[in-house]
Amino acid sequence: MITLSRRSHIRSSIVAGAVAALVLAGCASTENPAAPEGAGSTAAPEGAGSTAAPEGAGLTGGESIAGKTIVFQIYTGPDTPFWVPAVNGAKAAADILGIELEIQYANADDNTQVNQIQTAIAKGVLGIATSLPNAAAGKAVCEAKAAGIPVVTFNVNSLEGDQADCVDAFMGQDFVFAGAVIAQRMVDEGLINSGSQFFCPVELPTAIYATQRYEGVMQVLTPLGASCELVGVGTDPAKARDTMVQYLLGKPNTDGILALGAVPLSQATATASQVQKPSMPIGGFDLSEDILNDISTGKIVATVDQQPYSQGFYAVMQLGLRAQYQLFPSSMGTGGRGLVDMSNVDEVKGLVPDYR
Amino acid sequence: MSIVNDQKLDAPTAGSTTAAVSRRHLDRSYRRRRSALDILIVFGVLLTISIVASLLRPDTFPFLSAPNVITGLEAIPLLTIAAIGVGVLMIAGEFDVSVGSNFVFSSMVMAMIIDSGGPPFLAMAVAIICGCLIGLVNGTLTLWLKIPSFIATLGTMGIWAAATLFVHGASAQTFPTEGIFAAITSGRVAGWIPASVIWLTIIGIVTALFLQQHKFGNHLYASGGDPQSATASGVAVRRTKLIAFVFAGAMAAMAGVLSAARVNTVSPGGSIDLPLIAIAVAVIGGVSLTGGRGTVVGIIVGGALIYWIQNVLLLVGAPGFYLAGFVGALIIVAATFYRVTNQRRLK
Repeated sequence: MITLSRRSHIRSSIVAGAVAALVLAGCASTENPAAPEGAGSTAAPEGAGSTAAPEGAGLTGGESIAGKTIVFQIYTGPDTPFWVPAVNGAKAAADILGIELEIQYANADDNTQVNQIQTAIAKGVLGIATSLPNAAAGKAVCEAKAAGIPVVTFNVNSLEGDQADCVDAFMGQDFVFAGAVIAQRMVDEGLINSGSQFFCPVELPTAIYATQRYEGVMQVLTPLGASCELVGVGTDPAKARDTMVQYLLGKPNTDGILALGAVPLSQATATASQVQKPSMPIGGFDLSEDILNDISTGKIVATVDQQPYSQGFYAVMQLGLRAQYQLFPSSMGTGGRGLVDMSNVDEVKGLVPDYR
Repeated sequence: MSIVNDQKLDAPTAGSTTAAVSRRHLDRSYRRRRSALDILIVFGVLLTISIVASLLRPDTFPFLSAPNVITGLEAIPLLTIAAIGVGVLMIAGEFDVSVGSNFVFSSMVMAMIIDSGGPPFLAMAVAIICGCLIGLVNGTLTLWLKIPSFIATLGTMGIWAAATLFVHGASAQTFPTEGIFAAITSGRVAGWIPASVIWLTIIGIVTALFLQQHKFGNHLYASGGDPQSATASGVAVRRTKLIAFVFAGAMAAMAGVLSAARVNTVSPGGSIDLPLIAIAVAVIGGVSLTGGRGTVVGIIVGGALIYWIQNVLLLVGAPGFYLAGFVGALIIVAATFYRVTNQRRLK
């Protein structure tokens, strides 16, 4: 049996601590992978880390912000395709401004999000761009404002009351409005009528994007006397398809699918075929290669694109302009009434997944 | 060496008589098979009720409709193949919660190779090898560094998830499947039997034979049930467990390959809940959480039972918003019912 002397214990601990410190130092200086050719100034689609300010970049006049840091915080993890264009947009803005962008992921953990914001405050960053699907980080956001650090939210902002005043601007889509837009489009095409029973599959039924999109859909359907049942199908495409098939088999009177997220919408056409209803009306939200192909062939009527690239771009740009020219950030609705359908799908195809 | 009930021992257990050893192994073999029989009976009864209900009311309960049967036959193997790997490892007394990340990473590698023009069969082989190597890493961390397997694989779960992002990024990867490759991964035999069922059958039979008829099976059960006695009996416990880790990794990759081929897409964020579901399948199928017990048949039936629960709930129109809650509750009911009936039989 091997025993360690007290001195050996101390030595081992010091070595372990030194190794850990070296590893942490290495991680703190992580650089993003090189941009692919032809992709423009910011094309690296990968996740967390800092983008160094390129030489000669930046706007003229005002206060110099070259090399300073803006934190771009995403609430979920880096494995969600939706954030790829958002991050690319943020990086594009950072390049134009000549600032360093620190991309962080909270992995859907409120405590992690709060810790990251508080760390940003301690570091005295130029600004914080964050997504707030709930109010857990509200206090931290107000602490940032109190410390003189402007905060702009993107994609979703749940703060209300006094805490809402701590956010300078919001870049994102009104999900409720968007839900109403796509629902109305399907009504206008004669696909949803009085008494229609639709199926509203979504990855995570309790997430704010899901509940707000659903609210918007029902704002149109309810007065019409139509309905749409909200069902969670998860994030795995194969499993989502299985759940959707079983649902439609259990509810054979379902008239169509209005998918509230990319995963179920990408599987909707195959689902309809599998239940032997290939001409079932389908509409929904978000973009992917499969979805665009199905729009091209007319199997999907239209999809809402909330334009995450714009959200990332304008969130960072507004913070930069605030710092350089003291221009107060302004909220912006991304996506508007725009839908991707057969009339414009070819313009969009080459831009997925990095920019749309 | 004594031969009992066609199960060979490498050496008699120290300090025991041959007769006592024989009785113990007979009992153990009986208990292994008995656990599968119990779950098979439960599932058989539920399936029979569903079939009768469907025959009586085909319009309101289309359980026997072609699309429902085919969907079930496509879905059950994808979960169960991964669960067989996890279950075999649990029999050996270890856990692997990185199977979800393995599932995604291995299938992503395959998808990228095919999408860039590489030979699909080579891509599939590379994916399986990736899965095996992931299992090897997991096993090495657990067995040589002596880290509890749950913790070691909790760590590697994050590593392989990050590896997926590193090699591909966060966007989904689509890829084409055609010809023979499409036929053997996502095709149908006689127009309705999915290829994944054939794969599950082959994997299930081979694995069951190894567990029940081969020396390695004995070593596996011994390593999981009583590692100290197994070591004393001359069983190479560490090597046995390492092989089980590699097998679990291979099965996770195989399930990922078949799942990806089915939908022609790999999503980096998918299969988050696969580890827990696979463990639940194994436990419901009679695999002991403490190791040393379980059967392949039980695991397959466990997978079918979990699928059946969701299937029936959806077919009868359970509120979609609370589906996960209903499924979770019924899993607990099924596992409890099985445990109670199993304990009564053992008394």
